[in-house]
Amino acid sequence: MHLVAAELLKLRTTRLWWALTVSLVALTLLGGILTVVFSGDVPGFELSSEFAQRNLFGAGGNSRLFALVLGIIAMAGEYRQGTITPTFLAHPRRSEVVLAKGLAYGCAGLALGVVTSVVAAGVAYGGLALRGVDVVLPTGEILSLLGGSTGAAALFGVIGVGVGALVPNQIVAVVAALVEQLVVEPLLFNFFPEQGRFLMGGAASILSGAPGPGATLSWWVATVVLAGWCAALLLGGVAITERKDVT
Amino acid sequence: MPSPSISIEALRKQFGSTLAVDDLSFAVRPGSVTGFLGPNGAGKTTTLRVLLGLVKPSAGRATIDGQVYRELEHPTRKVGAVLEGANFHPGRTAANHLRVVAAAGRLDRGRIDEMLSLVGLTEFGGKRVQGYSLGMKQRLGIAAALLGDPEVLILDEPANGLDPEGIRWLRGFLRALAREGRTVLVSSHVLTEMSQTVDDVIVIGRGRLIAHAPLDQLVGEATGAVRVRTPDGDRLETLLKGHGKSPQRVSADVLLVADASSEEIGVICAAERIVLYELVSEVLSLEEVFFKLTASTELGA
Repeated sequence: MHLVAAELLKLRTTRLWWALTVSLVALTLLGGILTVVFSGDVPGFELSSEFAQRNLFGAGGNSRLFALVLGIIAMAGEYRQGTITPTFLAHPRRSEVVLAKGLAYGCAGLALGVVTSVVAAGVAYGGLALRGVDVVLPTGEILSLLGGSTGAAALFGVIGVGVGALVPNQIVAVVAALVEQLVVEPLLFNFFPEQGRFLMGGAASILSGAPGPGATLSWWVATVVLAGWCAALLLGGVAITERKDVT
Repeated sequence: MPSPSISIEALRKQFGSTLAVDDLSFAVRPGSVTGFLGPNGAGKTTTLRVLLGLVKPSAGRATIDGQVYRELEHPTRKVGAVLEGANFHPGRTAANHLRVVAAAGRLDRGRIDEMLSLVGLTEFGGKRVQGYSLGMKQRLGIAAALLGDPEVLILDEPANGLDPEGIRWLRGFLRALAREGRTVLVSSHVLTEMSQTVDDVIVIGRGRLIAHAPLDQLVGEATGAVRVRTPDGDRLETLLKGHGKSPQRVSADVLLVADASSEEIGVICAAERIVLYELVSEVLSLEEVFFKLTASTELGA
């Protein structure tokens, strides 16, 4: 446990988490406010529609990408800054370091998810009340949107650590992960929804309530799928890290 | 002699097609400062990184008190290491860096302020490392290494980036640590930098051991050649060869003799009535000793 504490101390003693949290909150606020203000009268898309309200309550779905980047920088950044040397000097059993980091950034992702969901819910309830529009989404679905995007953010924090361990070049890892999430997976998910729902982003978007056309999974299958990705990437990262010469 | 605390046994490390360390063995005793010397690229850093569990050896092993680094229960309480390169997050303050080191190694956080003051960084502890000079980073690295009050201290090129005043401070500091019975292994590519600090010297080149001896002995053995200037160069050359020596003709009137003392040459010249203009025994500086030892390996011989 002292390793998890050390990882969280590392996180708290640089400004990265602060910058990411502030931009994530700003992005969520902005998206929510734009939806509230500019939702027009197009049937099926007006503010009183389930579609618009699902967008509002699901605005926290962004948090998983931030958690992913945070996790990648936490691991690959140690190679970039050279801090990996003191890290492994202090604790030479490297697999434990990577696993502790995974746990720590699962927590960090969870925190990002909670903050974002609170902001999204605040904007949604506040915005709907201000415009005098009734909440039409069932409470159960609202909770699963907020909870799902929070859970996805937690798991993506762990995935980020795994990716960073597999690809220790921080810039390559961040760019590759974002391209994969924002370009490759949406394309696959659109054209092959049957298979795409088992991808990380596919399962995560189902979990946070924004599934693509057609295919879907129950939330617990999506959680298991995502957890499987977490485990695979983290263990792959552990194997690479154990073997690596730190020069 | 106390049992060695650092032991390198038949160590070999290959990076791709490059053989960085080649069948290297030596031992370092506690209570002394040992200089680990060699030109750049000789394999010093690789050897130290294998010793610290950061690089895996291709063959052989490196141990601290009989254990490889990864087996040590509290590695940073046993061994303190100052390695080259940026080992700090530029956006983290010095004090926070030490807090992280303490947390990860389960060290006493109460020593942080003490260590900062020991290396003269007290007033900069709250500053981000990005504003630090190279010398300040070296001092922070030393503070981090000493945080666990280790018995063994390993420093890779610690003088890099230190100003002359800083180097003087470092020398006194390392000597004091050795006097307390600790083991200090310090690498350098500049022998003179360390000549007033080290007791023993290990010289490597091209990954192989070249010499391992007390400093005085190393300097004593490596005597220079005798330089002779005489108008009778041809005759002296023939005479010396007749005495089984191997003079080197530098110019018409100058000879260099590596295998005879100035006394021997003086006696020969007097007996043969050869006029001498100069008879100089060239004393090698430490730097020349070092160069002589490592030159052959550097040239690829």
